[in-house]
Amino acid sequence: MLKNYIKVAFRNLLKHKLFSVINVLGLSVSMATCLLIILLIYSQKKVDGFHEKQDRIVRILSVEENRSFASTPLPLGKMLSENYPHVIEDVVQIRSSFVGGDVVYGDHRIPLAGRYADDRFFAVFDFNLVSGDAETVLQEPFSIVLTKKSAVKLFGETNPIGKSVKLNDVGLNTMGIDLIPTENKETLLGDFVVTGITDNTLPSHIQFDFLVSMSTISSLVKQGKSNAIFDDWENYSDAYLYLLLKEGVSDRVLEPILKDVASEKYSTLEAINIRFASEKLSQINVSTFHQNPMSLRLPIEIIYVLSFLGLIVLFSACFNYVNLSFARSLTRSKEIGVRKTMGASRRQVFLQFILESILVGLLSLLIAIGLLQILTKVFLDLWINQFLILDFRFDIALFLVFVLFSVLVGGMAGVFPASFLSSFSPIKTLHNATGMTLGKGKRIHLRKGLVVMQFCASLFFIITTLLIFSQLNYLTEKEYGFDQSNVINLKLQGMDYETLTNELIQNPSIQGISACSFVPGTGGYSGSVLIENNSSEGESELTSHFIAVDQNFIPNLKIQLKAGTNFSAEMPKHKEKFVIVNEAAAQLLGYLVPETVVGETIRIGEERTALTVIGLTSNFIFDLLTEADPKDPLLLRYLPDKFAYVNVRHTPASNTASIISFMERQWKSLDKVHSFKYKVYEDELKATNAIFSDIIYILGFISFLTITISTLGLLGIAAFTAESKRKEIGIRKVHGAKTKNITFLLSKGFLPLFFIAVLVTGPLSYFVNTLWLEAFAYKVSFSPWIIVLGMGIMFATGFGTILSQTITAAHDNPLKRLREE
Amino acid sequence: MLLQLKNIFKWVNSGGQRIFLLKDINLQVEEGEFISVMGPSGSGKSTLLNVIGMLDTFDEGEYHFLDESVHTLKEKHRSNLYKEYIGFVFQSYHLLDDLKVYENLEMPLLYKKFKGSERRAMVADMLDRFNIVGKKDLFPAQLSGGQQQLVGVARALIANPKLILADEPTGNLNSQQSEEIMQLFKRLNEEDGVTIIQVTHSEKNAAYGSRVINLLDGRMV
Ligand SMILES: Nc1ncnc2c1ncn2[C@@H]1O[C@H](COP(=O)(O)OP(=O)(O)OP(=O)(O)O)[C@@H](O)[C@H]1O
Ligand SMILES: [Mg+2]
Repeated sequence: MLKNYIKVAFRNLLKHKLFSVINVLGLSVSMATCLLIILLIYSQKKVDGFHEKQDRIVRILSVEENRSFASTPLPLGKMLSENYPHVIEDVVQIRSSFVGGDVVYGDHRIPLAGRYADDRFFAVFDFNLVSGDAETVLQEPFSIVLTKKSAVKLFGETNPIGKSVKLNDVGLNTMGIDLIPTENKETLLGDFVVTGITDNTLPSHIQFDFLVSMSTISSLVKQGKSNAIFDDWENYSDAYLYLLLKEGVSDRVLEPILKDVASEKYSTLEAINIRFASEKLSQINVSTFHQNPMSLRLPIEIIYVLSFLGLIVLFSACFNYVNLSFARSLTRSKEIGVRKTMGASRRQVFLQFILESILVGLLSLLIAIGLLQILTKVFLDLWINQFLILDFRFDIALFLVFVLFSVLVGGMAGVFPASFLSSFSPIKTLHNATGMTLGKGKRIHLRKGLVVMQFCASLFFIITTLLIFSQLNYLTEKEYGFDQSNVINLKLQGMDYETLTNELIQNPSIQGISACSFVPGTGGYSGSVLIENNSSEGESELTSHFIAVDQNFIPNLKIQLKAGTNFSAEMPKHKEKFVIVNEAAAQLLGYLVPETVVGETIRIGEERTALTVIGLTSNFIFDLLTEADPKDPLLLRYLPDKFAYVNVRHTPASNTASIISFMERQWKSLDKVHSFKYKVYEDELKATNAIFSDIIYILGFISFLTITISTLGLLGIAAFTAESKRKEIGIRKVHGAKTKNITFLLSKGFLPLFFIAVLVTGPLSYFVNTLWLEAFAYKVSFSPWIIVLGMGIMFATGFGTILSQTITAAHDNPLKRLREE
Repeated sequence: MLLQLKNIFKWVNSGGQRIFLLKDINLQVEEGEFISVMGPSGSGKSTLLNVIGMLDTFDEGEYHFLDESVHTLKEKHRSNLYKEYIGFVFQSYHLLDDLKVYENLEMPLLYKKFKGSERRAMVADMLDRFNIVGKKDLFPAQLSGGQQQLVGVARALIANPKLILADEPTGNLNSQQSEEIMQLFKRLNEEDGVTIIQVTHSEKNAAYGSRVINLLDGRMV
């Protein structure tokens, strides 16, 4: 029976090639998209799957009223293990901040980021310890465990075990994205003995280049090199805490325990109102976002959004299937009638058609898996993926999930057509050889409804895509308010900026050099300060971002000085007296005419240091473009201690590469240890929009698919309309109808559907797109022209598709058709 | 007695008016009969045949088939009944275009729970009996009308029905082809004892049968 069905299904697919191609193509591209999302979720689920005790390992979270932290107070671990030994078998804590910056062995100086972990680390987690004893590697102070990769970088072929390395701490940022030092100084932590090598290539949310024993911290505290406090219950961003529960103990047992601990510790503290919660190890990688995360991963929200988009594409492909199946029900009606008179029950016919659509689903899966290979490559090229822990390897379970998915999709697409087709009564189908009464009435409405929905989806995505692209265009063309061209930014890494400046300025191609604490527009921060203003204009207080700059900064970056003067070279380096503000700050301070702020005195910081405002700049963009707001206040302060970058402006005519190599040579002569770190400002700014372009790529891709799929669907419907009216066309032509009359006759049915779609989608797309557009401070205005343009494109593609079919049909030789009848 | 129709009425409502398709049909058919139904176009021949074949319902009257009262049966039982005992032959053959000859023959067996080996044996037997072994791998479109109808008859017979219902089986055939089909019906009726009810417009074809029923405006005359 099955064989027979499959045979018929295949012959049908081959016979109606256009429809098969439309269905399989649509389903396979949309399935590929969904497979990618499945792969994404699956790969996230697989992260940390290699720990043998994973079912018993939980992470403790600190939960505030409306947000939660992945980290906990340092003393919590000890407290829990001492008081609840019947529940907890083992405890591991990892400091939340990175340690390191540079690890030195002999003349190898390698930038690496490590973590403090306590001695139970390798007993609880199953990171492969290539050498060293899991129980003791992290016991002694000043022990270091290197990853295989770090060991090779530092030691090459030499066996590192027992060797001593120096560790320089540069105060790394918690999120080790770019190893950005938070301060421009470094501390030599001391000599560490390599006690073990671990191979951490299996995907885990715990990322490190090396581990240092937690017991080191106490020694460092004694030496004054660390200010960690082990009994500080008020700071819950200090450490990540993992518990290994006793065999057979459910994590629900922890709930009352954690509640007790929190109420014991915090009931008397006004300022702190947190409770603790636990999270299974397996949940860490696919769950909601927690503050202070150990590593970046795809937040579940993104997966939801992607899944939603994937489903939209999938549904439009299923729409096509349903639509075309309904449209073509006539061509199958005779078969259904014959089968039923030969004894087939409705159930058997239903089964046949469901099997057929499942077959289409499986066929599409074959192509989808091929497409997936391309799609994953493209996806992994997205900017965001350099920070994600993904494992896109195939395994049999995943393959089964894929097959199951395609069967589901096939079944889903087939269920409506199958129940419709199987309801045909044999007498009607066989008697009415023409079958004209079939598929009329309600079914026609349903089909029209489906066409309208496809029109709607296309139009919505066309409008959205147009808007996204114009917003991207707007952002990339947006002027920052400074001149980033011909500027190269160097990271000072502790070097004295005047020494460097004096060396570099020798080169005639270099026009100017300035210094700053962060590079505007690249996502860096120096922090913010409180400003107090008691002037004649009234009292005001506000918090403002600040940037430390030298006297060359404003002219070098060509920032507009609207009033007052720039800093002068003669100012004292350590006693801050003057400040320059931007227009937004002036306005927020109460100066309605911003220029009048010049000459006034403001007080800043905890100490209420009095500073005289000597200048006013325009509101240049200093934040990331995607986050910037023209109303953000900014203070430009002369604080040479905070300088972390220099901006080198070269002549437009000069060769960037040769200037870079010149600067690198100078750098190497001044600093023997740190490598030369530079970025071309223009490229750097472009890169900061990378996450945004990721989103554009994804949405653009989804839009493209949806539009293509619905166009394909339309093609199918138009082809069918023409096909089913062959006889009518023939008769009309014989009686003198012209090609253009017939084309109009065949196409006009789509017009009202198109207008319904426009009426529905116009306002809807306006509303939905305004929602996300509002999130940008710098945004294009959503002009109705975008909707009109979208409609135009939609009309052109839609009716182009329809006409391609109807015109061919209208050109047919009528006599040929009638003779065949 | 194979089947009996008692006071069968069938009507449709059109524009508030009741139009009778079948009026007070009384008919008894014995096993082994060969009946021809005749009458002008639109007189209700096909309708009657469909009612007998249980493909169509009626509005009034009683229908007994073997020991069952068809008019009281549920849809499912009715279809089981015709599945088991009745074979259909159509004017326009109604072979499935996507199936080869032997697959067309096999198709009814698929719905009757025969094993694969049994099915193959039955199909082979039929191909043999109808002398179309050489055509078994062809598609219907590759056959002449007469050959297609031969396959149609073979398909109707394959599950050994007691009754064959044929609605103008030779309507699309030339006279020589129709003669062959009629000869075949006669043989089946005489040698195998298959009961046959055929609708025909031709006196010549009707003569093959043992009894002629004439319909006029849905009424037996
Ligand atoms: N569903 C229906 N609704 C209305 N009238 C119907 C319906 N089905 C059949 N009829 C009418 O019933 C009458 C009998 O139809 P039937 O097909 O049985 O005729 P027939 O004797 O087989 O004719 P022919 O020799 O042309 O095949 C016809 O007048 C037809 O129009
Ligand atoms: Mg008829």
